[in-house]
Amino acid sequence: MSRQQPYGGGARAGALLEVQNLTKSFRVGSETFARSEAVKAVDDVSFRIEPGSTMGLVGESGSGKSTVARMITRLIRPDSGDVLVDGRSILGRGIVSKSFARQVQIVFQDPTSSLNPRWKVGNLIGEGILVHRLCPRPEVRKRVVALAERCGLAADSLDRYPHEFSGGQRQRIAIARALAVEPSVLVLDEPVSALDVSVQAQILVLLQELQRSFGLTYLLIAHDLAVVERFCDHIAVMRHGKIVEAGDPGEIHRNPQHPYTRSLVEAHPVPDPHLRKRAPG
Amino acid sequence: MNGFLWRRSTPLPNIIVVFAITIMIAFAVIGLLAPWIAPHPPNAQTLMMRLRPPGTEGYLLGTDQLGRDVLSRLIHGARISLAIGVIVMLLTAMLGVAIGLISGYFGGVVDAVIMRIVDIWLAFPFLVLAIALVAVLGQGVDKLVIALVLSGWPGFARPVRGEVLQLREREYTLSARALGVSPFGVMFKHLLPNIMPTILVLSAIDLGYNILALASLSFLGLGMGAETATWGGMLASGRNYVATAWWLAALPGIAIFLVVMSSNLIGDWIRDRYDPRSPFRVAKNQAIAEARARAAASAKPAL
Repeated sequence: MSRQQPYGGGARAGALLEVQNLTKSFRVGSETFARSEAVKAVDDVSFRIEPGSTMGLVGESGSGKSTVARMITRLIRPDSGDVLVDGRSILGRGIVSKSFARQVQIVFQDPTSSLNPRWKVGNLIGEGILVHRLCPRPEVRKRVVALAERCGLAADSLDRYPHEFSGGQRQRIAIARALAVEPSVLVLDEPVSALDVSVQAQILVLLQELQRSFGLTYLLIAHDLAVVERFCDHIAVMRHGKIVEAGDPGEIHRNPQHPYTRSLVEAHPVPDPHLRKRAPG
Repeated sequence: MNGFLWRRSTPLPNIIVVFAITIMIAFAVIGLLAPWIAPHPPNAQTLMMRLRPPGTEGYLLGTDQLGRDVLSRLIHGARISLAIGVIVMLLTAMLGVAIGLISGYFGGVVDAVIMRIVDIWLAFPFLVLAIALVAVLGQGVDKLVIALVLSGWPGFARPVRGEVLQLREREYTLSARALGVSPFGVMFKHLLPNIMPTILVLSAIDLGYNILALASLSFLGLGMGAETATWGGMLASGRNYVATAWWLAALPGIAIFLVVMSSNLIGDWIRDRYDPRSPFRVAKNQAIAEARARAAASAKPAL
């Protein structure tokens, strides 16, 4: 059985993502007659994710983690700093910028709003293929079907609209849409926090499967440690725009250094409360 | 929209809306078929039969001061009014929507400049601006269309920009941008379909405005030549005979009133259908929820 390969980016996949000294401030309270105030959303953030591994970025809302995600996907221009994929900066402008879209893709938190309500699912998934002319037009459909199947969507779902699907199915659509351009890095901006707990696990399993087969590099953003700990090879904790602690998930759980990390660890329910008592600190 | 009006599962929302749609369709058909259904040519004068009241043999709605058949002139007037109204509406919508999209999507300096121009434009009353433009451009159908389009576009540009400002921060817009879709691709393929309801409402209301403006300009003698049968022109020339021949001014007035009112009603109806906050939709959603609750309650004892 010769199946259409849903993901042709295998050779490129698994890139090294480096973020260097990213800084971004926003102007707040800018009215016609009021002085605007600069708020530093992201302040000198640096990290690197090894090819094919997953890094978790944890922080409360407003800590700047989504801003980091948007800068890596070139939706916001950083004030300073650089984003490197395999050593090459992706922050170019114009035509060059379009080709960078194929390297880094993003899956948003809420699939209700990240899928255009007036587009059919098949077109949503196929958009990236068409935009980057990844294959001749008549073959787009075949590729979309293969990709949808790979993400656990039935082929007959392609002619329906996003609102006809459940949250989990919609997130599968969003993942398929992002993978259509064969990125090497996938930014997951709280991909499961809008979903039911039972569905969360299914999506995480799908993401792990996809990572294993395509060698993707993940940046997983979350607001609590529960998801991140099991899923990531590496964790960074963000607060007020800065990375306050980074390291191995087990290590951080056992021995949180920063007070904020400690509060995050304690907020996370532990199956056996005795374990927590024995933990130092 | 699920099916046509008469096939909707729920009863029609409003008899007035049906009335308005019927009137619009009727005028459109009359306008299209004008040369075949008008009993006389619009400019044929019968000087022996001047100022005859409605009901005169052969002249159902009477004749004017030159002995021209009022009914025939009204029918031909419908053709011109609606044709120009629709053409102006389409052009205004295209221009205004394009400017609104660009202004809202790019933001920054582009937006500031365009919005100041819109502010200046809107500071002039619509009709005054149209009169000024006609005066500058001169007479003729093409110039009339240009004048009305140029004075009407901010009516589209500003609401469209407002919607775009909201939609461009939606995650589906961000997702398209992250995929590498070009700015114009995002605007026309992602944002435009989502602001279509607004555009439809604006267009329906704009059609009424255009017909009214056209009539006003003809009334002021700034429209087309005097020999062209327009509702505004008929109104203007009939004004001198209001005391003795009321039908000359009243009949075109009624025609203008019906068309403008219908187009506004249709615009309101479209808005009600699309706007989830409109009272009609709220009531409908409530009814659906209640029906569901009742169905659930009746299903329970069976279990």
